[in-house]
Amino acid sequence: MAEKRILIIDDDPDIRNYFAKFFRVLDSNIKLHEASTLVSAVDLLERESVSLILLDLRLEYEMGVEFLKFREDMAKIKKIPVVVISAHSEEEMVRECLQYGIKDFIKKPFEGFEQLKKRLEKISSFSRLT
Amino acid sequence: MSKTIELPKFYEDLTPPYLNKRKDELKLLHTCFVEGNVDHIQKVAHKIAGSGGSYGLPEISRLGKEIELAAEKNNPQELKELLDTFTDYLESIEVVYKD
Repeated sequence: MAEKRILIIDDDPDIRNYFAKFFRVLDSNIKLHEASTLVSAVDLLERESVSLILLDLRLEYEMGVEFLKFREDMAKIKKIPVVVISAHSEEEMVRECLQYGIKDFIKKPFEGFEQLKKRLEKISSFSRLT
Repeated sequence: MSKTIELPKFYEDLTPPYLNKRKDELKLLHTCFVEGNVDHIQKVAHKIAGSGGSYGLPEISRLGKEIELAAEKNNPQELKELLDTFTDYLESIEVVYKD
């Protein structure tokens, strides 16, 4: 079976570790790529094909929304569905992200394995993966 | 007095290292407090707020959020109390895992 690839962009290693375990339990055929900065994420996306991007909004030195803006001008990346994961959930911020065509906005902290699974399964591009 | 928290087996290999990191981090936060480096406290607390509940420990997220807000307000008295509360909480919990 072909490997399924997902990219997480988050500067917090604890959140990346959480998702590494989450996807390992969910489907051993999913390979999770990790990036802690936007530069490393774009670099990775130039080399690898991924089916879904999980994006944190507040990175160490930059804002995730910059990635959404950048993505608009990059045909290859623009096609990849993005789910925003953030401890911020101000209405204005959510609205801005939705303008860039994100698939969902999931608030941190996550409520638990099953809840997160159900939430991701509502995204058609994710359902096709699992 | 210790408090026992039951978590699903899913967390068994995730939560112990997470808690150890928080204990080490708290020492650093106390040092930051003494040095008046509230910006760093705010940044770290923001991450704690976002991760604690994901590891099955919502109280950690709650305290992280309160510390983040106290740092944002630059309220030293509240910040000191919250850092002490967080320290006590981490020292008091025992986590067990079940199917």
